[in-house]
Amino acid sequence: MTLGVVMLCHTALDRAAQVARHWAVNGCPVVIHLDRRVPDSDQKALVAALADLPDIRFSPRVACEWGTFGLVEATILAATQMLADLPGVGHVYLASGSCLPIRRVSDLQDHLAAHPDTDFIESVTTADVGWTVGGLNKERFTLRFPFAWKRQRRLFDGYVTLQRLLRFQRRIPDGLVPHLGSQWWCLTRRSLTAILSHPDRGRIDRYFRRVWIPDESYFQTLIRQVGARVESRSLTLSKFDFQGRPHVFYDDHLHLLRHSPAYVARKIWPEADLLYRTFLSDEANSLPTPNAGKIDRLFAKAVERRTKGRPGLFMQSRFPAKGRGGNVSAAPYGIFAGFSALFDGFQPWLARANDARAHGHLFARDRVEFASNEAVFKGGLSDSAPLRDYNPRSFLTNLIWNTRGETQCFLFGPGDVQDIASFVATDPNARIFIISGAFAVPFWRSGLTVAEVRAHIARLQKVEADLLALLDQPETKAKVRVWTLAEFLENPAEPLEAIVDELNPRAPDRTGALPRILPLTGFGAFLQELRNQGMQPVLMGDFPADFDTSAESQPLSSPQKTG
Amino acid sequence: MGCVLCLCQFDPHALKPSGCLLHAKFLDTFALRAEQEAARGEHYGESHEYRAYRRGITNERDLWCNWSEKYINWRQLEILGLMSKGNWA
Repeated sequence: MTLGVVMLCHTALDRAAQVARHWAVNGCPVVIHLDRRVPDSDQKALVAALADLPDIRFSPRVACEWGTFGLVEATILAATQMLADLPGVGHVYLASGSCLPIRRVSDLQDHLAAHPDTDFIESVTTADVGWTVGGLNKERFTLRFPFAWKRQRRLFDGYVTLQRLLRFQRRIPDGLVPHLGSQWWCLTRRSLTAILSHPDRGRIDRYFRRVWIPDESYFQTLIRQVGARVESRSLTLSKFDFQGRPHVFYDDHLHLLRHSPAYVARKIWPEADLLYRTFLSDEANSLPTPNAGKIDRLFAKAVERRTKGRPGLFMQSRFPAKGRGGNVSAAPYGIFAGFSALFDGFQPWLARANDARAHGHLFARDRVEFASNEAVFKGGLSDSAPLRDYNPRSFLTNLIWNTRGETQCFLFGPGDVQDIASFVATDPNARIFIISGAFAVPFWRSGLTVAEVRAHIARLQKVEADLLALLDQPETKAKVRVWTLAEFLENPAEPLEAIVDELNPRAPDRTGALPRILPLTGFGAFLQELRNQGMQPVLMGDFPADFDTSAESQPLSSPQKTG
Repeated sequence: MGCVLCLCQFDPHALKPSGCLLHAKFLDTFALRAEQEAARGEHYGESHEYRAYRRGITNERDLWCNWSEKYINWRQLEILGLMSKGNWA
């Protein structure tokens, strides 16, 4: 028994001729159906181009409008002709003019010879279908569709709505259980004959004339009527994008198609010279091991990327609104407030312990303090404060995107430009660590008098309090840890470990050299003096006025584990 | 192409295909070209753009920095996020 191919063609007829020739030369008779709407001159050219091949026939032509019964009718005409003219045909493969065999034809013939009684047709009940885009599953069979979806969309949609309102329902003919599936099948002579000579064909065809997209349901439903051995999958690789349009394969997909376990792929772009040249070549392609999973994953990823985009990337073709990913950066990053005032060498420790890039105050008022004092950072980011402040969110999301693969950390404080706060608060990638009130330590250390710095400290305390209030809101998505200065000093090693846990959980050794804490003897008295002068330092916590420990200037040791 | 940025701000679907243009000033032959065109003086506004480029280049406005990457192919540009494949698989 041989394999016969029915080809439904309406465009790119030169390519269709090439593929038909390939089938015929490899021992597969072909019946071509040409859309009635194709000019007769084109038909003559196609017939002439294939005139040397006796195994290629042309069926009577009907118009094939997308989604209408014409496509089924064309298939029936061509298949009937094939079964009648070619008694040697055991399986009939339905293909389109833009289908391309992507494995050796002999492989397909061998496969079918090994399964002489199996029908390869995707056939799924409407209840189980998850792929239809547009929401019409069951209703394809119970409503009427006299309008063309592509040309008369408003009438189409309006008529569907009207029928739903009126609760109009067509009766599905007795005994028919609607099934859906890929239009592209490969049926046995026995099953196809049984469908085409079904005693109830007249009634069934009348019914399907008003079903929407019958080419995806006519054979898929009737195959269940004729007691066939159905293997519910298509031998044709055909992928749909997120809007339900078929994916088109280009030369770039050569590698991908070579890994496909399918025998035929659709749709191929007519200009994809490399694909046509490769797969239609005479020499037997040595094909790699098929890997269907890889292809499915790739296409699923493409759909996901089209619908969600790459998180954290803002560019000319991705600019999501806030609720749709506009508030998400590309990767986790750390923000540190108050630490540099307490530690000697905090930044080098941060970089080392977290395997991260530790910047200074990225949002300092005068300039961007990139790590190593760079004037330009990755992605051509400038250290200019006005450029950064023009759009702080873009500045930060660009920085995080540009440095993917390396954790970024930066210092922040009430002395910095605060505009970025509202973004980082709602960014789930932000890891914010704050020692509240620590900003006052450098003022104390500066040696200036309380009278000189009082107003500054009061102002910065207000700024920091506002930041803490913002981070405390329920819509905050950032991970925030806040210690008052007094809390922090009780056991500084533990917060540092928490930082490493958060930013570099797989760090091999987090008890390594911790940064040296600077002496704070006298800071308590400084705070008391602020109070005496009428200011109320609150963010530092319950800082003892006589704070003075002899151990505080020692390198920190790891906290004792308590049982 | 119109303003893709405007389109995708309002499009519920996030990623549209987009390309990018390589400006001639990134090519190493551009210094010579600016010199020639400024000398030819056949451009609008008395070739003031080419003269500006020439001035910039003589002031050593080198666009190369530590973070620059050598151009490989379009896939590299796509990975960098300078352009996008849309739902191209």
